[in-house]
Amino acid sequence: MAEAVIEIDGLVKSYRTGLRRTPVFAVKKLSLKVTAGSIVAFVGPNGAGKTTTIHTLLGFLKPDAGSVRLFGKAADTSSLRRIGYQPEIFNTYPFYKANEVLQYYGQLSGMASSDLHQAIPPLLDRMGLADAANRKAVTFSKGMNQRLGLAQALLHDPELLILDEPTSGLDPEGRRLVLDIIREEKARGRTIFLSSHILSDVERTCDEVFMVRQGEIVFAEHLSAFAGQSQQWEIEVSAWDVAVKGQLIGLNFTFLSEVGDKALLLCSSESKRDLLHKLTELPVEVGTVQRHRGATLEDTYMKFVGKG
Amino acid sequence: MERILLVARNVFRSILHGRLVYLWLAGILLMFLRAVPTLFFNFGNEALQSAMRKRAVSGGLDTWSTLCIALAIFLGAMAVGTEINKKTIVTVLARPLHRWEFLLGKWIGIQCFAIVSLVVGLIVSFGLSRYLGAQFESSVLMLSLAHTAVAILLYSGLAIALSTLLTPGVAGALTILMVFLPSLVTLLVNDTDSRYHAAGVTLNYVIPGGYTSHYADTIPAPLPPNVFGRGGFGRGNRGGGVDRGGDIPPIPQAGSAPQIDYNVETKVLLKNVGYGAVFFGLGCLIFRRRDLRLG
Repeated sequence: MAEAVIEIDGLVKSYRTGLRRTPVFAVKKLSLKVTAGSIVAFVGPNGAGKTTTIHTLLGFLKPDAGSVRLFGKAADTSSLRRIGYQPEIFNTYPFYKANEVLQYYGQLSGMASSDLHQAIPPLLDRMGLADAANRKAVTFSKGMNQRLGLAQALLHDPELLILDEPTSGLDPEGRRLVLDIIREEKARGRTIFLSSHILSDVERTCDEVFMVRQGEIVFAEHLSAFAGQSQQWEIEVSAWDVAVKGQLIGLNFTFLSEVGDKALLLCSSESKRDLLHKLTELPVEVGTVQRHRGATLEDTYMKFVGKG
Repeated sequence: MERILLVARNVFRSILHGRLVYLWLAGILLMFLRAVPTLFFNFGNEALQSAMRKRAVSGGLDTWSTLCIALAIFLGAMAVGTEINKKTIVTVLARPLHRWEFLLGKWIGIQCFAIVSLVVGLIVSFGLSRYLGAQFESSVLMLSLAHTAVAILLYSGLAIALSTLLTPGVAGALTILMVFLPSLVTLLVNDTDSRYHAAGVTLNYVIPGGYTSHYADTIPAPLPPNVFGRGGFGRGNRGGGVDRGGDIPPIPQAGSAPQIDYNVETKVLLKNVGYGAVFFGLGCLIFRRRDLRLG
């Protein structure tokens, strides 16, 4: 079985606000496990507790209760050596040029100067920032800044990448570049913990999804569960009425909708033939017959996380 | 240690980028302006002019040193708050860097910049002293510089410690309060009321001795006797009314030497270093336990 890279067990984190120091719970009994070599998405609306969870992982925040383990042991400063973190908004010092930014963070990660001189140019090239290597980072566009943020996370070749909204603010080209890099890193055996709002990015890159709402995991599933073809069929029927409905008693189907004189029936492949045969005998008009579309990630998100 | 020095270098660079070096230019200008009257006016007495020139140099260095300490307090108070506000701390502390290492790097960087500033002031003062024909008393100068360096260490350490918990403004204000508190403690300790005396003795344990300036003695410049009448320059009864001449301590006259007990001064300096280390250590403990809420 693959090694657990991140193990969060019953994490509780609250903030105290106002004069009365009333506790507001950002994370409530959150538990999850990320195994080595997987790409895990952490999705949820703003204020759901995603960043709080990430900041607890990185040691910026102390848990009220529960535990956080990284690489099989309690999270501490030494485990940060094996982590690359890209914050949602990458802010760096205004006096550094792009290559100096990487030099500084690389040295802080314990990299030798000779290794940095070898690693930085190809990394900037990979990020499409080779021409801007000697430009001050403060003059970068938002997209360039995001890519520089990803570069500093990748620089020391970490085993675990924690990416907070890596594609936000990127143009389509930049977005594709970042998603390609994420896939490449996965192919190299890296574990990636990705916080994102963009579900299409999650569908395209991730193996597993954790949906979080109000500080709790409300849904967890492998993405493969969303990819399979449904074995159910939808049958659209017009001139529908109660009398017709009565004639179908005993047949195996359910209603997806029943509005006015129209109904949308859902049945299995096995019962489709019998149902269609019966419908042709009745005074109704059979419309479209199509394979039922399974729940998408977005449907699931809206069901478990969204307000709709 | 390498990471600490990296943070320190980063601090130094960010101060230079913040154009705080313009403060140097302003300080140099101030020193020259202070010396200007002594270049053009002899106050009707050559000996007095010579003394005034010397005092302009030592006074200028005194002001410069005070500015260096103020700069260290300002930078220390801003040390953590600005990093949190600008969220630059996120990518730094996401590295294998202990929080105390981060703070120590900040402390070293700030001290280095303040000491370099002090050296710049010293160089300007040396130039000015040669031009004005003044000679520094090396032992007193070394003691004065040591006092300034230790005050920079002490108050920047305190400001950084407070900045781990408070906003930059509050941290700076409390540190400045600590600069002035030793005078209050002395008053309380000397008070005849037992309650005030007890409060003074208690506070004396918490509040460091603080900064003592000896710059006035770095260039012996006794005023010639009988200048501007009775007591010397600036000692006339300018405000009118009752002459309090008897209450005012005499200005050093020709032949008088500074009375400095170097053993006592060394003890004060060591005590201040100790307080600085304790304050900084407490700051590290607080910062280690503190949640970093970064929005």
